[in-house]
Amino acid sequence: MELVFDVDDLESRTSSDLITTSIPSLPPDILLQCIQYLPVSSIPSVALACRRLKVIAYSDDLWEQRLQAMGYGSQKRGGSQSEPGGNSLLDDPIDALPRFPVQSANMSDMTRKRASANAQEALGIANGGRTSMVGSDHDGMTRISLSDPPAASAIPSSSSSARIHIPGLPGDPYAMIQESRDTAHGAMERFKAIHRELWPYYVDFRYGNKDSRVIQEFGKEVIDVARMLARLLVFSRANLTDDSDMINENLQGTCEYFENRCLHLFEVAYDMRDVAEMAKFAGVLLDLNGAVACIQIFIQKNGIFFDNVYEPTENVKQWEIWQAQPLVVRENTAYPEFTPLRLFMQYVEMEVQKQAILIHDVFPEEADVLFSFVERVFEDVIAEYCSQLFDECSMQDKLLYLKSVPTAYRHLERLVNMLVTMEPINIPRYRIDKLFDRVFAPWLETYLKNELDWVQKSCKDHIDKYERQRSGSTTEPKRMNPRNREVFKRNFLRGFRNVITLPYKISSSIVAGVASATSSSSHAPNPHHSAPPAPSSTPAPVKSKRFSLLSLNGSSSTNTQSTASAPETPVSSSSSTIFTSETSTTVPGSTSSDTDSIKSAPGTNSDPTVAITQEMAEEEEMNALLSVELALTLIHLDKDALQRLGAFAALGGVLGGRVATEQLGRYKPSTQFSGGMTPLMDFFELVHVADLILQMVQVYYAEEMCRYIDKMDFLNDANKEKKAFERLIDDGVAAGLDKCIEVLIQQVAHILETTQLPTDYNPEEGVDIELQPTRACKDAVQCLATHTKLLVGCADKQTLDVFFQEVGLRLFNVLTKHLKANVVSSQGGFVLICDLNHYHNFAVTLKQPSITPNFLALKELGNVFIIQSPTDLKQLIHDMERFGGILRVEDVFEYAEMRADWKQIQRIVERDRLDCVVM
Amino acid sequence: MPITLLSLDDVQFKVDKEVAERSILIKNMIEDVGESDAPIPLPNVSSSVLKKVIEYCEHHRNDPVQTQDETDDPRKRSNDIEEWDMKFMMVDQEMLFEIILAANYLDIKPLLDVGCKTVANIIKGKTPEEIRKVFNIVNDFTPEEEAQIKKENEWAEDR
Repeated sequence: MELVFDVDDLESRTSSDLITTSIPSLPPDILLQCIQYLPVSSIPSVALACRRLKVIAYSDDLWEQRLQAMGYGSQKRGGSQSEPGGNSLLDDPIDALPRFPVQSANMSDMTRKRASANAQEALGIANGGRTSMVGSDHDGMTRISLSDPPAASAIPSSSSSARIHIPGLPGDPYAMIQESRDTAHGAMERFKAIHRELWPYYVDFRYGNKDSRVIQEFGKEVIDVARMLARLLVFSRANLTDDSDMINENLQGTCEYFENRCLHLFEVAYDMRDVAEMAKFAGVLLDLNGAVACIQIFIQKNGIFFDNVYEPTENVKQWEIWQAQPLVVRENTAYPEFTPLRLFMQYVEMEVQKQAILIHDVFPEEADVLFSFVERVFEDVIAEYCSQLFDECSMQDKLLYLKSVPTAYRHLERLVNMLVTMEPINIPRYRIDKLFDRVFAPWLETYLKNELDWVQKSCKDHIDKYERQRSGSTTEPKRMNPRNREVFKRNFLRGFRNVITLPYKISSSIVAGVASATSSSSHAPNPHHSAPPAPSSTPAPVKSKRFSLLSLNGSSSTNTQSTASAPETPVSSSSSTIFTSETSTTVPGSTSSDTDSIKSAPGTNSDPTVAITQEMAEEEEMNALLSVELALTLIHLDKDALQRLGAFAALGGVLGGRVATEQLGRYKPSTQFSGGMTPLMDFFELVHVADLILQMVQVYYAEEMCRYIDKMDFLNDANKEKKAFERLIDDGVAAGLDKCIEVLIQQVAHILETTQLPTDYNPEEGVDIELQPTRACKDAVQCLATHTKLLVGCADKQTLDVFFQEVGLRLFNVLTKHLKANVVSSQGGFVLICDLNHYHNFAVTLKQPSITPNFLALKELGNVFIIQSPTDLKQLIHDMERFGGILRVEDVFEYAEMRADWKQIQRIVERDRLDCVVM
Repeated sequence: MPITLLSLDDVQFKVDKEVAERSILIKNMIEDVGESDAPIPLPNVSSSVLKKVIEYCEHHRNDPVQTQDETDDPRKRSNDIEEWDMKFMMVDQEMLFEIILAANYLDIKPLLDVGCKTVANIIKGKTPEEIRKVFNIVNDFTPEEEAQIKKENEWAEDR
């Protein structure tokens, strides 16, 4: 091996020779850098100049770099690890090169990976077959003694000790070179083998004739020509000779000529639908340069890009026709749901399927033509169609636009699913999703924005109308008949649950049923209902059908109706606040944002809907306090939003793994009551409605939301929102109850004041007294009883307990105050006892153990007025146990003062009292 | 702030920081040590060479910093040297090698590349004999060895 300096050799020279030479005084790595710039043809001269330069010229680093230039030099040790006995470079030179030497920017990563894998494989084969390659060398060249790689690598280590003695050199740079030589072992040999095979063909291009040796020798098989040219192109990158630029140019020219020729033939074959020919030339072009141009032509020639007859405007026309129909027809036939869009999508689907079969026949899978095709279809055809459609729609009608986007999305999603499962070839889900995302994301963003705007605006309108309606209406609010209330509630809830669980189409009929039940139950028993009852009963089914449409169209915003309460004058002013809020937040997502406000717009335009709303509001005024319908509407909106989001949830994943569902049920209607009203019935009605809504939300939550969110996830926005909503209702109820108690008690006091005759407890002598409660008492108790009864079943037990306790306590206070204002004779005392018993009985019905002692004490107090003997009275007054600690001695004295004969007995009673004080 | 460079033979050169930082070695030094008035000693570079190197750096002070990809471009050619650089490199051999060594030491990649390309251009197209003559190399092969090497490298020659 000549690579080795031996010690003998060195000793035979004078060391001064080496020092005087100037170029070798550069360190070897710099020398290597210099020589790297030389063309291959200059290397032999360098090697012949002197020993030091020869080492560098033979170094594998130098040749490794050339191999890298040819695209497969990075494999350092691969050669020694590959299986021996593979095809030799010369036996099967074609397979020894990467199939895709030219990597186009258009080619996918996948292909690139494949290509590089091919290259590595090829390299492995080249190395493995080195032995046989050397053996089959017919050129009469000197046989290279490299057939034994282990021996070759052993040589440097044995000779390195000699090298470090070379004078004039610092350290041991040769050893360094030698080391890297080991790693890049055989690079020179590898390069040499390739060079020897390709050089004759390459140098043939020096004179630029089209009829080059490549064509001559391989002309009979186009594919061989292509592969040879491809290999030469790669080879040409290695800086081969002085005029390599010119040769490369000629080579390039020939390749282009060849490529154009093949492309032409491919086109001809395409036009003739000759699949075999197409496949042949596609293969040729693939081997030549990855067939970028060929694939482009193939894709562009598909009719879908230039003569599809599908016009986005058809959708709008269809809508216009539908719109032009009379209202009655529109009500009964649903909007046709973008039939042209569907047809277009079906067409695309069919085309793609057809094309996929063709692609499968013509191109090998690694050319990735199908994806390129689908990409083009998405970016050109579908994108164009959709954006035009969306533009047209938004020009026509906002709602139409809002509906068109989700529809298009659904169709596209179907198409994507088809693509993923398509036979015989398909596209991996992640790639198509990425593409889909890229195409759809811009629209989605605009859509979401519009959607949100629209929802807000429409619900504002909706509520404005509702409010105007309310303020303009003078009709007496009607109430649910208390008797029917429970039944109604149960029915309604059952219906609602069905609505929620069943698919939408079916559910609308149930809503109809429920709604009619609503109207009938609320109308029938209300005799003094001044709103037009006639239209309410007959067209109920129709209306409720539309009502279900309306529910899609739900609104969200705040509806505040509050009127100052006027407790003294029983005006039918109600104050209720319907606070419905839809919180819409956008998560800081990576690509686009999903909001919770997505909803699919109903097939009606807004006008009829609003009309219905109005009608509903009018007819279903339902005490005009808090419309269950509104809440139902809102919940429906939410449900619908949920469905929409369900559709987008998949996309959500695509868009960056956001938890789309998290934002779903954010929207909650909330109710709040503030202030009371004198006809407390109204308030209780409100409480009932609130309860109903709460239950609706609960049902909705249980049925729908839980599919998307984790119930236990307390950080979840939906859950938080729900809790907040419940709290809001509770607060509202509590505040309302508070107010209500106040009003109620004031009412009771009022009744007592106005109806309690002075003679009730102080009847004139001789008049027969009836031993029964006085009218005032009965009225007051009656008033209380009705109202408390109303409340039962609408609030939870705790609330009720609190409420009743409060009522009891305050009633007690009112009564004690009230009693003090009266004069009681001993005869009247019996009446008073009757009254007190009556109060006590009422208090017992409240079932609040904490307040019964108060009323017991009150009952005992009655005795104060019937005892004749002052002494006994005195004893009674001082009997603390009798009053259970509720009333103090002073209090009892005060009551005693109310006795008609107080003046007479005062002295006796008071004396003792004073005595007591003195003592 | 100007930087003072101190050559092997104790000559001081005042250069702009921007110019000095063409050398990655000096740049890293300034980064490590922080700016100071103390001259930076360059014990491997003589004043004549340093002067030349500074001249190069002045001229290329506004060049964009080379990325690794550019410098490692495998399709290296010796003939793509800028005109100014070509003229700049028209120096005697000793100076050429000194510049290359200084560029290597100071870590000025573009200058090193230009130097190597210049050397390559000198070698290119010459016979072994001519190469030896140009660089004043003594042929240290025996005629047999020479014949052997010639045969071994026959494949690479552009016949």
